Amino acid sequence: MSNLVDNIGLRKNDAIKDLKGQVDFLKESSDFIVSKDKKDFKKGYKEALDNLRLEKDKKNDLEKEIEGLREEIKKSEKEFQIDKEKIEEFKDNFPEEASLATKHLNALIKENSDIIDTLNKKIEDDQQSIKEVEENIKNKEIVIDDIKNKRKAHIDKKITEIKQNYGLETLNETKKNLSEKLEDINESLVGIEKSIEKFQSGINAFPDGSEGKRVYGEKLNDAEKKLKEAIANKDTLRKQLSKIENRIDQINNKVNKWEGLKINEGLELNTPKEELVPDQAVNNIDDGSPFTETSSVSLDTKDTNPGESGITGIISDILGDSSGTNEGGEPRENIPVEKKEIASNPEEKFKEAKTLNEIKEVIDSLDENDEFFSKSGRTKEELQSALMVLLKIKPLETADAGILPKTDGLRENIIRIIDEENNNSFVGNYSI
Amino acid sequence: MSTEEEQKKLSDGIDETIDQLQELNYSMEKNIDDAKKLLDNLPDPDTTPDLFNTESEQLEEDILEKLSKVMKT
Repeated sequence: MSNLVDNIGLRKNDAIKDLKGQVDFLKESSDFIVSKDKKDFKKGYKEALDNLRLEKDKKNDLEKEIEGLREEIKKSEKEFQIDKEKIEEFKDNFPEEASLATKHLNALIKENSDIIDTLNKKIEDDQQSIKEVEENIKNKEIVIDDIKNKRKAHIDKKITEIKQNYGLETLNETKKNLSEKLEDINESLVGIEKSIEKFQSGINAFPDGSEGKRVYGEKLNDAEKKLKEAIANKDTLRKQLSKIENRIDQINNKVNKWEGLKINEGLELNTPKEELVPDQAVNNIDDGSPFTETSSVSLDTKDTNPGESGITGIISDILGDSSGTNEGGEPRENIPVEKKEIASNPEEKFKEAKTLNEIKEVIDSLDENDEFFSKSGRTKEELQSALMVLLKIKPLETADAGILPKTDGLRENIIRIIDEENNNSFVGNYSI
Repeated sequence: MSTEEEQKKLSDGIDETIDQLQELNYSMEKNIDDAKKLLDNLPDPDTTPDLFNTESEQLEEDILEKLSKVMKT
C-alpha cells in the first residue's frame, strides 16, 4: 500500500509540475504576441490552453484515484480491526505472541495514519495550487472577453461613422423618393404623349392653310418642345439617381470591409453580456486607444461557443471557430459550402483559377482539417467567409485582398485575378 | 374640326398639356438640382483617402498588445 501511495504522490507531483509548466507556457506565448505574428500567436495560445485543459482532466483523474486510495485505506482499517479482535481471542493462551502481534499491528496502524495525513496535506496543497491556476485562467477569460467586446464595439463604431459621414441614410431615402418619382413621371409622360397624338389628329382635320391649323399647330409645337424637354429632364434625373446608387455602393463597400474584419477575426458575440464594474476584472487593462469606451466587463463565463466549453470555447470565439453564428446572427451552417473534387495541391489550383469563385471552389473542396488551414492560421469557414466578403465588394481592388493570409499563394493569386479583371474591364470600356 | 366648341376643347386640351409639362419640368429640375446638391455636399468616398488598411492594422496591433499584457499577468 505504501508503494501505491508513493506512486500516486509522484504522479500527482508530475501532474502539478506539468500544470505549472503550462502556466509558464502561457506566459511564453505572450512573446508570440509581441512579435505580432498572428499565426504563431494563435497556434501557441490555443495549444497552451488545450494542454491546460488536458492537465485539468488529468488532475480530475488523479483526484478520483486518490479517492480510491482512501477507500482502500478505510478497508485496511477494517482489516486491522479484525486482526485486533483475533489477537483478543488468543491473548489469554499466548500472551507473549499476542503482545508482539499487537505491537506490530499498532506500528502498521500508525504508519497508515501517517500516510493518510501526508496524503491529505499534499492534496490540500495541490488543490490550492490548482485553484490559483484556475482563478488566473478565469480572470484571463474575463479580460479577453472584455477586449473582444471592445474590439467589436470599435468596429461597429467605425461602421456607424462611415454611414454617418457619407450620409448613407439620406442617400438611401433620396434614392427611394427619386425611384418612386421616376415611376410617376414615366406614367405621366406616356399619358401626355397619347394626348399629343390625339391633338395632332384633331389639328389634321383643319383644312390646309386655315387659321385654325396654323394657331393650334403652333401651340402643339410648343407642347412637343416641352415634352422633349421633359424627356431630357427625365434622363438627367435617372442619371442622378444612378450616381446616388453608385455612391451608396461605394459606402457599402467600405462598410463591408469592416464587417469582413469581424468575420475574419471570429469576434462575433452571440449573447449580450452582463455589465460589471471594472474592478471586478482582475488584471483589466485599459490603455486608451482605440478602446476608449468605459470599461465594461462580463463575469458571465458561459460558453459563448456551443460545442466547446470554458477556455477553449472562448478562445475559439477569438480565434474563429466553425460553430455558432455569423455576424448577422445567421447560423453558419447556412453558408453554402459546395463539395467539389478534392484539391490535391491548393497552390497549383489557385494558379489555375481565373475567377474568385474558382478560388472559393478550391477552398470549398479542401477538408476542414487540411494542413492548408493550419498553415494559414484560419479555419476553412473563416476563409470562406472572407472570400464571400470579397465577392460582394464592387469595384474590387487589389488592396482588398489584404484580408486574406498569404499562405500557399492564396492572396497572391487573388491579387492576380483582381488585376486581370480590372484590366479586362478597362479594355471593355475603352475598346480599341 | 367644325364647331367652335370642339375647337375650344382642342385649345384647352393643348393648354392644359403645356401647363402639365411645365409643372413636370419644374419639379424634375428641382429634383435634379436637389440630388446634385446632395451629392456635392456629401463627402465622396472615392476622393477621400481610404484608411481601412491603416486603421485595421492599428486595431490588430492594439488587440494583440492587450492580449499580450493579459497573458503576461
